[in-house]
Amino acid sequence: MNWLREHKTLTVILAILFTLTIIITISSNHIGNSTPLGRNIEKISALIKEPFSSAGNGVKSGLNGLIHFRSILNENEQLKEQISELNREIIQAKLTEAELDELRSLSNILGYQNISSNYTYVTADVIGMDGSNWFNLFTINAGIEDGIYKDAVVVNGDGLIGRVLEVGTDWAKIISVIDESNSVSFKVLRDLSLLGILYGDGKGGLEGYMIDPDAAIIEGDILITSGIGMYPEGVPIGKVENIVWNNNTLLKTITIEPSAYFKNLQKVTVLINKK
Amino acid sequence: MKYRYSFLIFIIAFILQTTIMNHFSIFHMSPNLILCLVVIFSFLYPGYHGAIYGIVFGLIVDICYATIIGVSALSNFIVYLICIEMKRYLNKDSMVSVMIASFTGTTVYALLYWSAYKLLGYSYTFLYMLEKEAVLIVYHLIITILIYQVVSRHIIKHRGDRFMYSGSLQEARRLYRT
Repeated sequence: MNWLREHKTLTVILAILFTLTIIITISSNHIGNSTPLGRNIEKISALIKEPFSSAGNGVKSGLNGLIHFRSILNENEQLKEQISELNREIIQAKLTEAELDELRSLSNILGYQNISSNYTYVTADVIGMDGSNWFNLFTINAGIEDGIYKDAVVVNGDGLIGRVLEVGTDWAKIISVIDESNSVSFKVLRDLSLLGILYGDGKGGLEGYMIDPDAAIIEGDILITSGIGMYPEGVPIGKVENIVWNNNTLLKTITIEPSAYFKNLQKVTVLINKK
Repeated sequence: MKYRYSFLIFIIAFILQTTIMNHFSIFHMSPNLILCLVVIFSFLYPGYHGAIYGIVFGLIVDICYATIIGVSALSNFIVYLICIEMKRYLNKDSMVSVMIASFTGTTVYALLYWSAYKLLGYSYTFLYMLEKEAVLIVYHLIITILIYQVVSRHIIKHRGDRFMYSGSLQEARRLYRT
């Protein structure tokens, strides 16, 4: 005790270091499970940040519009052409819709489940992003009240974003697929029989391997989720950037360029399983 | 500086860091304003602003945006301890000293953050950390210099400074003229 009294500063420093180490150890064993205090802090933080985030997004969109005015005009023309092309495709699709309905009713009779009809969608705004530059964790302004639950899959217009790590009443914390410690099963869009596994590469990207070492995968192939595991089938993940044969594992190792840009997300969609 | 003012500054930094600063990212890197403030407050101001708010806001950032709670808080606290030690050897009124403190703080923070996550089983490589830090060091240097330009005037006027006259300003001017 005398030693503690004589070395007050050192004791305080050691006590703080010890407490923080204990907090780190406990939280590393309970990832995604905050205490009520933690949840309240997140709720208050989400409440404070929402208006700032909306204002920031608004200002950025406005500035982008002014700076890229000419390219937006060109894009507008291209989109108009695309719309007319899509309209023609819609007419064609309507013709086959009746045929599809017939096939669906047949599949229901045979007892198959239609995967896409099992999900509803909740769109939410990103209200805060991790400022540490290490992870791509972010908060959205939708939570339990909107039907969001832990491990719900998150996507955006470009493709797979990640999953819900933690959820509160009106907020949810999302972890991106590149920060995931869990692996994701994928298949190649060009040939759906080619399957593989991918995971974060430790450099802010994705890498993976093909289950079949002889799989004829090529650079530029688009990868989608296979439906095995928590991620539903058919969500775009990214594009194959590089393929290398690994002599040690005797597997084809691939580097993937994610289809979504994680640093500048403004809106995301959460897939809610109806079951 | 009073603790309530520094608290307000840290709150503003936290909001900016997690909302608006992501739009100003350079090479996908946005600055860690809380770390910049920990360096500034520890290096330039007396008291425990850097330690207290470094830990508090480190914990809040971890709760809101990290998988593991406490790593930022621990890194901020160790950066505070290093800045306090550096204060003994460097002249705090020189901008070069502040730049050295910012450089050291950013590097130490990155090393601690990376080591902690590596120990806990995350796969981020050392090379990836170095790539990130190269950009972040420059970004933090610019921000620290900007903050220093604003707060340095207040440092000269600080009442606790033993080289300053503690009476009224008019009286001080009169004494100076005579």
